Amino acid sequence: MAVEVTGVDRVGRSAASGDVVPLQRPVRGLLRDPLAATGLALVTLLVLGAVLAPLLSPHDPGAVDAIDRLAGSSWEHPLGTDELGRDMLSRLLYGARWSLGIAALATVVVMVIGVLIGVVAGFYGGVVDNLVMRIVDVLLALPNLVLYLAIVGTLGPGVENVFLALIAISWASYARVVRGLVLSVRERTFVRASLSLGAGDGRLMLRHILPNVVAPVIVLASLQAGGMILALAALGFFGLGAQPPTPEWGTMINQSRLFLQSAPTLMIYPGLAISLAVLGLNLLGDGIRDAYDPRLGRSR
Amino acid sequence: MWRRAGWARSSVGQRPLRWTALLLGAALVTTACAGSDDAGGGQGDAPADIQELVVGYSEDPWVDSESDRKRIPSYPLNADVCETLVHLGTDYQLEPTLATGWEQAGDNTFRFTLDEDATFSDGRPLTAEDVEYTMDYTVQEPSTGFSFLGADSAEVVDERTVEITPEEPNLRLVEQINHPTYSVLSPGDDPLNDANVTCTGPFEVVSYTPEQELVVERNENYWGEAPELDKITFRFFPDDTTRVLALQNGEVDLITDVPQGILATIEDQPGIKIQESSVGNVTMIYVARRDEAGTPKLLADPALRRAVAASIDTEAFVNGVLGGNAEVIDTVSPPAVLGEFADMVQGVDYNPAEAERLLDEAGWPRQGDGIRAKDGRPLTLEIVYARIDLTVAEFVQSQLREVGIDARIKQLDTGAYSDAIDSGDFDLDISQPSQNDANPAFLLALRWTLDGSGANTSILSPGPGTTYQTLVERTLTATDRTELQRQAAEAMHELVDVEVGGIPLSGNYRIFAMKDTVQGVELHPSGTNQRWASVFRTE
Amino acid sequence: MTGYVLRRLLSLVPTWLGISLLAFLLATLSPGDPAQLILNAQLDQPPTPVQIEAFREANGLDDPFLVQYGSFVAGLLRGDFGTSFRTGEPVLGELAARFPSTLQITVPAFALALLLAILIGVLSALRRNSLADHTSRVAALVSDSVPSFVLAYLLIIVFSVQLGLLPVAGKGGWDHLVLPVLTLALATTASLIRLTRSSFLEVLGEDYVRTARAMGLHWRTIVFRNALKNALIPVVTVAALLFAGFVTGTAIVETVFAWPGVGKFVVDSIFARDYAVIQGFVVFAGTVFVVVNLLVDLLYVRLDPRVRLSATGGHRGR
Repeated sequence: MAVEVTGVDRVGRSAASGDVVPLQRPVRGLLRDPLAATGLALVTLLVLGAVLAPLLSPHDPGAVDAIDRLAGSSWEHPLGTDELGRDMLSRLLYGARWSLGIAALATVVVMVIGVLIGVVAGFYGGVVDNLVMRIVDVLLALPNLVLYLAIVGTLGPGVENVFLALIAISWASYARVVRGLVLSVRERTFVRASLSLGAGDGRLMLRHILPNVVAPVIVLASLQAGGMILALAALGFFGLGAQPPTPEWGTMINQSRLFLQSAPTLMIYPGLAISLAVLGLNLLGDGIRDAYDPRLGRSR
Repeated sequence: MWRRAGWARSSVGQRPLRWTALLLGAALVTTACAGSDDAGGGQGDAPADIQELVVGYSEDPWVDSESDRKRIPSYPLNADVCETLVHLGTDYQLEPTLATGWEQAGDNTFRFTLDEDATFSDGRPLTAEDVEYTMDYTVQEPSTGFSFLGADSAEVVDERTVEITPEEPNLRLVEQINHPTYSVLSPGDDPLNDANVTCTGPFEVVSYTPEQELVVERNENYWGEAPELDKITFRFFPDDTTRVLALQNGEVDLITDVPQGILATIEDQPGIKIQESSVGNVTMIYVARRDEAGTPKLLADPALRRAVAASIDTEAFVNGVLGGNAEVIDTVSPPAVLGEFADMVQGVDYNPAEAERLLDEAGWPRQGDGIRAKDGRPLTLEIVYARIDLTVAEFVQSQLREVGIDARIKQLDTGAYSDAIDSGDFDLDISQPSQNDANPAFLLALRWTLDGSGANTSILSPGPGTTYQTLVERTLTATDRTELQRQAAEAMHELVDVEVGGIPLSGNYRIFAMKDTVQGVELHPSGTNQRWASVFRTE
Repeated sequence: MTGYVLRRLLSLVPTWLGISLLAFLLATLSPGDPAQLILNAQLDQPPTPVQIEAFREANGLDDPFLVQYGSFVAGLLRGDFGTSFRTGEPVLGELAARFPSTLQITVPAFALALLLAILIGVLSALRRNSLADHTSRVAALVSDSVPSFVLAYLLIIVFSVQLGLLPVAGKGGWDHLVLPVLTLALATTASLIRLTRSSFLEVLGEDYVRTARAMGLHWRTIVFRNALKNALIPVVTVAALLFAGFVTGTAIVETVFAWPGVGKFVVDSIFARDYAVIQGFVVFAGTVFVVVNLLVDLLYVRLDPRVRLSATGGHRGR
């Protein structure tokens, strides 16, 4: 459930902040906020783990040792081994590449698509805007998990299809937020002034509208990245995500079910990894939002 | 009331195949089991006042495969409500049950003499008409050609005598008719659609709730020795973990089909005991040679098939992945069914160096990424599986990777899996066929023989005119059981050792786990022939 | 009032049509020819080209796109959501048969989540920046971050395996409800707590509350008679929409606890490649959304008389 619940109201509220904020202020604010700093530290740590996986992993994550299976912690296997004797720590580190990597890539792609569509809809208005907003309404009407299941279920399991589904659905919230921002920015006098001076559409969008959209979009993205990780994990849990032997965290949990009792750590470690990643991103996202828009801050 | 509307698909025509005969099969998949070893001791304990048992059973078989409708009280979940003419003993020998005797009464006809004491749960005596109705009913079996009996296969000779003639020449009738699909019904019973049947067994159906439970109670009119239990509730737990936890939790008294990989967890638990049968099913790999249209697939190449077999370390599989709770095996059926001839099948030895050599010679050199390729095409095989843990498939995948074969695992549900099997949309199918009747050639005929049924066998079979095909066809006409076992072993040797058409991974026991207070379980290696009348509870 | 409701209903029509279009388009995503897929299931063997052609003809599969979509929508309006490949039964009937099971866990979970959210949210707002407030916020953040299947398994390990208090899974007596309901409630309540707290804080800051205090009205009277009611309006709205997500999005919890509801049926259908069910489910979920939205609007009108005057209905909680 956390999948569709995360970010609903927080994202909704962040959308309300349309004011232009200088970019430097947030960074300082972020580091002074202990929760946000914790979030930043968590995310940095996990990303480092993913990037340095080949250096940090004590073993090949795919190396099977049928005899040394379900082993506890040891010097050789700090987090023990799984049902096929594979080193858990190595699988978790390489798993970070999949879980975080896909979520990050999807977030970036979705951000670009969503911003483009939102800017175009907001700027041109009329039929285009109407059509886009109807599509957005539809995509936001249904719980994300329902849509992910429908798309991946139809296309078939696999990490590529999960990626496609994430993108096909998630651009909608960006488009809605960006469109709203563009509409409000458009009304401001300086844009009207540019118009009267005869600036072209493209230049206008680049010069005046995009800079005003960047901050809220970053807030939205940081809040949504956690949701992406959860969605990815949920699909992996259903067996629809990354296919074995890929060590994606959700997929690992799916496979750990049989050992819930004999080796609960097979479920707990990847579960912890997902939770920490999402927690880190949520804290960071909240921090970024507060830094940009103190009105919505937690201490009000 | 549990009837779901519309059996719209029942009009499917049967494939008119003589091999159908052998195919008794559907048994194919199910869990196997039987228990020869301990009947559960407990002589010292006094029987409890309340004789009730809650069994945690795996998936509701009726709901599980709606396109391939099952009989809820008798197959594959056999609740000991109905009985067959002949019963399959835990040693795979035949035991008279509703029939006291049988004889060949024509080229292709067998005559059965019914037990005069046998009665239905409503007190009515068993007659030859009931057997006639039952055999005619099997024709309605919706799965393609499940039954080897045509319309009007049974003929009433007198009140207590009936003659049965298979559709095609087939002397294996008695060895096949012990399968619970041929459980004797009362005229009008429709177990494919309605669990409320009137049968002759020690228990009667009380209620059935799809995906939840089947409840049976003692048949007060039972014609044989009265059962100990008053009531058995079979609750469905498709998820292995859940089923095991339900036992530890005390929600159920006994669970069937304990996964081997986690047996160790429950073994040490106080108050819980484990019971194992002799080998009743085999985890094995079926190798696809052709697709549906007959086009050769990668594994049409015998060198590749042998390389796959030689790359899998079955010792490590059995002792590691399965925790030693199985046997290393060379045959594709339980050795017991082949009798003294089981040793004729040797299996392909684990030898990764040999596998690599075969692959090199076949023109599949390793590439930079370690995966072999030929003319730019990587050596990729698709694995499908059913009713085994993903762990097993992953183990095979990792073993193939060692010799440079890239294996992809496809996770499919039962329906999608059988579609893939029928259409040849796979290279390796890891499955767990169970021996549920007394015919030693049943699996050979079912899966690798042309004109078989149950699946599109041209996908697996060596082909027409091959030694293998000739050897299997011969088993239909053997009249002597020892001779039959020898012939079946010869055919299996040809299949496993020469053709490498099937790769055995482990011989599995049927494993039950139960509370210490459950006594008298006679575990059958074939799950579908399990009996419950001897079970009782102690304080 | 009637006019307002009617307008709201009309405004939801395009969304519902869009959802049905999305469902319709899903069919084009599925690998393979729909005619072949359906016939495969019906005949239990590969259909011949003649059979496929006849089927396409009979079912209008060669008609222009809009005609096909039109007859799809017409079918939906008649209650024809297609036929399950797997069971051969109407999809709507299959979903409807399992819906009560889903409601059996979602309704109590929803009530529990709302109760927790209001209690904790109001307390945090009243004791702003206290230790309790910080604790509840951190707890909410954490519960937002733990995937519900992990939470479910942790609950199973503790309550079923270690303590042996509750059944692991399956449907049965009331005790089978506890863990699925708890999982669903805990997974949802975090965002509701946050919302209640901020909404309550906002109301407390408003003029009329301050005036009331200045006039010497008892603090508790203010909180419970005036502030609470107003603060709850947005909470109820969001909660109701979450509930719509709930009843259609229980796939995870139903899968973990082997609960025979709609979500588990859909997941099973996915593995059976039963595209008709997936398609029907999307329409089903969309319909639930539209109905809940309408109910929320009605509720709003009751709770907040100002809506009747403005009647633009721009408060959709998202």
